[in-house]
Amino acid sequence: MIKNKIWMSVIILTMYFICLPKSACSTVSVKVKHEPNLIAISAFFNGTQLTVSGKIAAENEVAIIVKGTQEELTLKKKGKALGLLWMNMGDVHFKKVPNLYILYSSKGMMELAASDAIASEQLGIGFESLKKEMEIEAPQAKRNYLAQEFLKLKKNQGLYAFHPGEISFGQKSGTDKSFKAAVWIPPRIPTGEYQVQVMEIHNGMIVGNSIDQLKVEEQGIPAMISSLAFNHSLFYGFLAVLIAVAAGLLMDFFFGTGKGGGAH
Amino acid sequence: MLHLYLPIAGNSVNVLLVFGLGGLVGILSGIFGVGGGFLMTPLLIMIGIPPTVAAASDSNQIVGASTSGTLAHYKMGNVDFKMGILLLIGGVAGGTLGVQVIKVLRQMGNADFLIKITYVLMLGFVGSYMFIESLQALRKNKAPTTAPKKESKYAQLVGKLPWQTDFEKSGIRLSVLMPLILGTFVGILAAIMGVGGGFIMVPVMVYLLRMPMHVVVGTSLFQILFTCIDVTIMQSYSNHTVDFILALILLLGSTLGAQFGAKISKKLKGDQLKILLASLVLIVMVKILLDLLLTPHIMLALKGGH
Repeated sequence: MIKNKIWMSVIILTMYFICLPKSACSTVSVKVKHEPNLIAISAFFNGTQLTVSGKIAAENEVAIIVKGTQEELTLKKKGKALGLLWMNMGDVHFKKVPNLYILYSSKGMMELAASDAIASEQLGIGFESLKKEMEIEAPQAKRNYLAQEFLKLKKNQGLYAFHPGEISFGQKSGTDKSFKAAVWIPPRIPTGEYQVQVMEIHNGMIVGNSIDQLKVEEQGIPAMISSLAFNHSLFYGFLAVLIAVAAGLLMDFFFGTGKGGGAH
Repeated sequence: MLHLYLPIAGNSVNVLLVFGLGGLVGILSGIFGVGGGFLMTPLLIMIGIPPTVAAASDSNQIVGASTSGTLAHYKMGNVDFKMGILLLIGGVAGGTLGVQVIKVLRQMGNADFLIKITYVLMLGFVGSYMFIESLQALRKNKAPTTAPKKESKYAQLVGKLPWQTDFEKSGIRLSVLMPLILGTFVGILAAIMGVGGGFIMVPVMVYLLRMPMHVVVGTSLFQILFTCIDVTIMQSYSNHTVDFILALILLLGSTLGAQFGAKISKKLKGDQLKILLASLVLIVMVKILLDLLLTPHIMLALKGGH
């Protein structure tokens, strides 16, 4: 019996340390479904909706993150030359930035946790936590400012977004309630693998978690053109020129004056 | 609204908007003999096309527009092939040289600043000179006083160069060296400035080669056609930045626009054309100057573009 008790304490202690980093002890797996599982980029793709739904305990809140792979990015930095003219003043390198970060939550950040900083600390979500994660090759004093501008650029492109309060709840059934969100996937989404993470939140703590994969790939005409452009680039270049010249000739044939030679 | 996905740009665009944009730039191209990259590239970036893809796909589009425009002007007898080919040879040599020059300049530091300032000053000077000159010419036409043309130092010097030959379409006699040298000069500048060169080539043909304005427009288009064929193939091959779907929508608009542009060009007098082009050059100069003076909304930008 004593042996058993020792084993139990070891297991409990181990569990405690494993769970410690995000203070998300005793998280349960949230039952989640997202549709579709594969986003196909075809010729008429103009962004799409990802429906994420599931069930959580009736008194809890929920957050959904669609996140891409971390990448490195080099951007041009603007600055004033001679204190007068705005110009590109060299490059800035960003590391550990996801290529997509779409966050939906059932309530505003302040209601999920006491503040943005606490949300970043306890939940590990939101732009503040992204700022913490990213590495910027710049003097310490300028990092916060550059991170801010980086987020602005990504939000402008639609690749980073936060939609507080845009998860709706259904009827309670017993101790559970259902939730549903229509997550907007922007047209600018790069192809690749994405993570759909759903977090059940209680009093600013994560109590439930679920991570699922989402794939984005080109199909049909876009896939064909991409493959041609990258695998047969010289042929692609000649073809592009040929079709452009042909279009020019055709337009002249149909809409031109039709008179040959002669001075003006 | 009908949207199409652009696989190389990695974004979707409104087809009608891009078609209209192509049409507008095509008209300008047909009237003035410029490629229109100065207008197209920033507009494409604004609708969410990455800068490198915007610039490369635009040159693909210009191939279509300048084919259409060159043909339209050829039928009006406005293309001086002999002059165009000589300028082209010079332009290719100059472009190659210019790429090396820019490398050296970049290493010296602060090159981008010098380039931008030079470009603004040059556009300002050329635009103002053209504007004033054509305004005076237009006024003279109203009260015709046939002033005898003096032989300037420049004309005397040009007259002394070897290998003089007739350029029938332009109605001038010049040394073969002139278009070769000037073509090289424009090629170097275009490569350094990172622009197509239409804005520099047209004034050079008007004032330094003394070609008639209408022939300048047609010949410039002929020349731009070959420059852009070269750029399109090179960009496709080495950078994979040509988005064919984007170029196709643009060129459907611009090839049509170029036909209308050529017709408008035909109705205008040489000096009217010049004064309109001068205004356009000045507007572009003001736009670049404002970009330099106004505080940007975001202090970071994607790489590439003009």
